Amino acid sequence: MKLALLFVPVALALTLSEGASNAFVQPAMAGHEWPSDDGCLTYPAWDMVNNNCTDKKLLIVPLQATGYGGSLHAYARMKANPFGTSDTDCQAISIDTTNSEFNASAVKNTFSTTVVTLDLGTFNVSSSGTYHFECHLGRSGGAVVNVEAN
Amino acid sequence: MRTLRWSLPVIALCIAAGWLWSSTRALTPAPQAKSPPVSYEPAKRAPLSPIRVATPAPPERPRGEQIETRFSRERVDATWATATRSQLEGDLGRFATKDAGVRSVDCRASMCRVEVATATRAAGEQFAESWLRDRTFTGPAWGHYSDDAMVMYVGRDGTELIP
Repeated sequence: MKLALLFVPVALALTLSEGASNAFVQPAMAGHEWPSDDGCLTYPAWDMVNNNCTDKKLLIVPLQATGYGGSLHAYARMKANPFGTSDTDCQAISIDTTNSEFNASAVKNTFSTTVVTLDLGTFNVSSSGTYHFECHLGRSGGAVVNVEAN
Repeated sequence: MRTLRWSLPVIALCIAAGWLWSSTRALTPAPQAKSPPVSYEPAKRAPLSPIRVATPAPPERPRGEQIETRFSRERVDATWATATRSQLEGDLGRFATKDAGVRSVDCRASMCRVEVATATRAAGEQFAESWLRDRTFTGPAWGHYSDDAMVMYVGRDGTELIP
């Protein structure tokens, strides 16, 4: 009985740390332009990814759901161009391990000229499947700081 | 009286010995038919892995079935269903090719079921990828490919397709 009681705090600590480990934050600079890198997106170290061209550009930020399967809540930190005339949008998309199923979150956009955190809602990932964020960066200065799923 | 005085410790000793024997017997490993050869090599340890505390989850129904059941139980919100069906047909129609095209769109109160006829699975994947990337419908979406069709469920903004 005493031995069992000894395990209670240990189990509690492990459970709590397990919950915390399900938050995945990926900097935008870990992503890449799609379909090809035409030099429009700048990837400064430790900073947001900016679109320096005069048309919208697609940024893909990949993540892997190692050992986790279930519902995730997606967020993205981004801003429109400095004039507020070209919006930036993001969505999260998961793909299962057999590539036969996908699940996309809602697409959310902003015309804000300062960085805002947008709640993209929930989406489902399969255990060991992959997911990624797709963001269209507003022309002439749209940017993404990072993306998050927890 | 003298016999009784000696018999009490003896009985107590017997009970204690019996309890000790029964408790150690449970810990003794069962004899094996053949004992393994003795190895003089240093024991190889398995790499340590982090301890994970998890409760066994009940077997989960496939997500497709869960969504299908939920969709079939939904009532129809005529205003939303009509407007969303029209929007989806236009949005999805932009990505139709000779190998993939919308077969049907059925909307209820918070979800729509979209069936896309595809010549090949690759055509279905291409259709979904293109649509997801440049869609005007902004709600959540779930889809499953098979060889000749792709079924998608899309949700009203704020809807959780898979709880």
